[in-house]
Amino acid sequence: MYSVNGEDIFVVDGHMHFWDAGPDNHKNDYGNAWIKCFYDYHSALSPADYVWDFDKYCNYGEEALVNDMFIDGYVDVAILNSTYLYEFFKTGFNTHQKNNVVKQKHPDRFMLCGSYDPRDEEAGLDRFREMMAGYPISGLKLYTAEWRGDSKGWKLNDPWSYRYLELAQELGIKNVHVHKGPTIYPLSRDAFDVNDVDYAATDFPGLNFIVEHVGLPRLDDFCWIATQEPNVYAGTSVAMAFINSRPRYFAEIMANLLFWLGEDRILFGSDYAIWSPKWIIDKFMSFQFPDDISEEFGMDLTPAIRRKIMGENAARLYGMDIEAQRTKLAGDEIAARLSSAT
Amino acid sequence: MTQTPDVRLPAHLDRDEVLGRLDRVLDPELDESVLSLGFVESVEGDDDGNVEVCLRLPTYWCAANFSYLMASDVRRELASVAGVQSVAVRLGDHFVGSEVQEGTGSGKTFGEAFPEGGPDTLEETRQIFLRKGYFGRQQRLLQALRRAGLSFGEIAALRVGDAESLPVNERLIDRYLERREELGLDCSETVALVVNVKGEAIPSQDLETYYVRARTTRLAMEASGSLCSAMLEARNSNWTST
Repeated sequence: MYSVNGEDIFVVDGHMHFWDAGPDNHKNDYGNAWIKCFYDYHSALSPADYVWDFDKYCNYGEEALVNDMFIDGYVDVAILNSTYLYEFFKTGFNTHQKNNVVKQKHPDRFMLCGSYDPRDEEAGLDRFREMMAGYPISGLKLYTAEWRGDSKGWKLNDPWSYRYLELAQELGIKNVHVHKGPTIYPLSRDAFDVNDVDYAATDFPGLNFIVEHVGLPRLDDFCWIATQEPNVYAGTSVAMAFINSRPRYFAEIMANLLFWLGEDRILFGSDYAIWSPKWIIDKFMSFQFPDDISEEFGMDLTPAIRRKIMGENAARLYGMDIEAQRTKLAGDEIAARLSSAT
Repeated sequence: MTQTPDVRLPAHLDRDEVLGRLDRVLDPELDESVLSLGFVESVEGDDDGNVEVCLRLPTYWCAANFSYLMASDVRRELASVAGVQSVAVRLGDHFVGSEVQEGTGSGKTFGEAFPEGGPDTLEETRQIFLRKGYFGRQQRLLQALRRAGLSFGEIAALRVGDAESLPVNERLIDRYLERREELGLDCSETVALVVNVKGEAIPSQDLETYYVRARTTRLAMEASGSLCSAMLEARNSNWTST
């Protein structure tokens, strides 16, 4: 919860992680290269006071996460992404099984994302059902660039992917987060492609597709698709992190998202632990568009728009009643820590 | 941020020409020269005219296709410099560095170097990004014209021949017309200044819509340049180069 002028802003961090990327978990050099690349993102865009040492970054643990999210970081509810990467990490990078351990300790604070990999084909359908039955899964996080044997990725509109989306929908899933961001996928087929979202969004009008990292650097392609597909949303992690070192770019990205998608389809995300929510939220809540941008686009970041982006939009997508959720949260262990801290 | 590469060349190779050639190699996605982006770490030549260029990209995972394009363009540009006998491109600390080095060194197409990786040649990719760059360059020019007080109607009426007398930075015009020519579009003085990627003039009433789309395309490219330069800086300070 972020308080400004006596008003409490409900904060949903739409995109965060609980990973283990320590050396013991590296399956090969890719694991090491992966976390080093993440660390470059972290140190490139974080304010100096928020840059961790590399050892902590590899495996920061539960206590740091709870603290950075909820105690220091203003977050009320966090959407825990799952990214498996079994080709790089022995026990996975951040799996729903591991994520659920921390969720169980703070059940109302986290929403857990599960996933599927269409390359599991028929055999994976039962496992998907088991995941849905055995874990409190609220949404899906899909990572189309994941390596698997010789395959270097898949597309949302692959026939098997559609089978999984159908099943997910049958089992009550509404929200699908899709990583479409800075290129990690190595080969050319997908390197600048967000078009599979277009097909899936048309064919599954009952699902919401939250495009994480707004397709950066393919922001333009993302905007064209989102303009046509009302069930496509902007997940702003990575874009948000520009607010510190490249505030003008951040302003332009936000102005373009508001221009093409409107204020009801933009969701805040920190991408923790790549970046910590505290500094992003501190900056965002007092951020104003530079005059020329505000003039050209004919808009400002009003308090109402900020509230929507920080939490109301995500809450709506997940069918969460903000007042009811606040009441639940008020009784938990984190709330007790928060009130003893003040 | 421009980083100067470490250049060691024998007397018979002209340093300015070599750097000038490298300056023509673009990162396709960013539409900026690899030299000004700081991607060229070193250029070394021996007395026989064998040149080796080391590139360092912002991340270990920079896409193979873009990396391959840049490495083969470096090779092609330097091969035409007087006195150069051979060109080798090394791609440091990159997940397919050795494949790119070996593939471009032996003149393989992308498809030959990466049999599982998509198209055979990268010509289409190159064209897509040349066109994106065209929109970006044109948009910067349009934005400057708007800021100088021209209406969309006035801009739509401009011809290429009017370019010289416009109240905007010359470089914006040069970069725009340069790419327009590169795409094979008519640049004669009597043709409309603002044409789409097919060379068709934009009617006055459509220019505003056209403008807001190009604005987003331009932003996508700039935001990514911003990220790449921040990443390269972080990469160079976080890890000792190997």
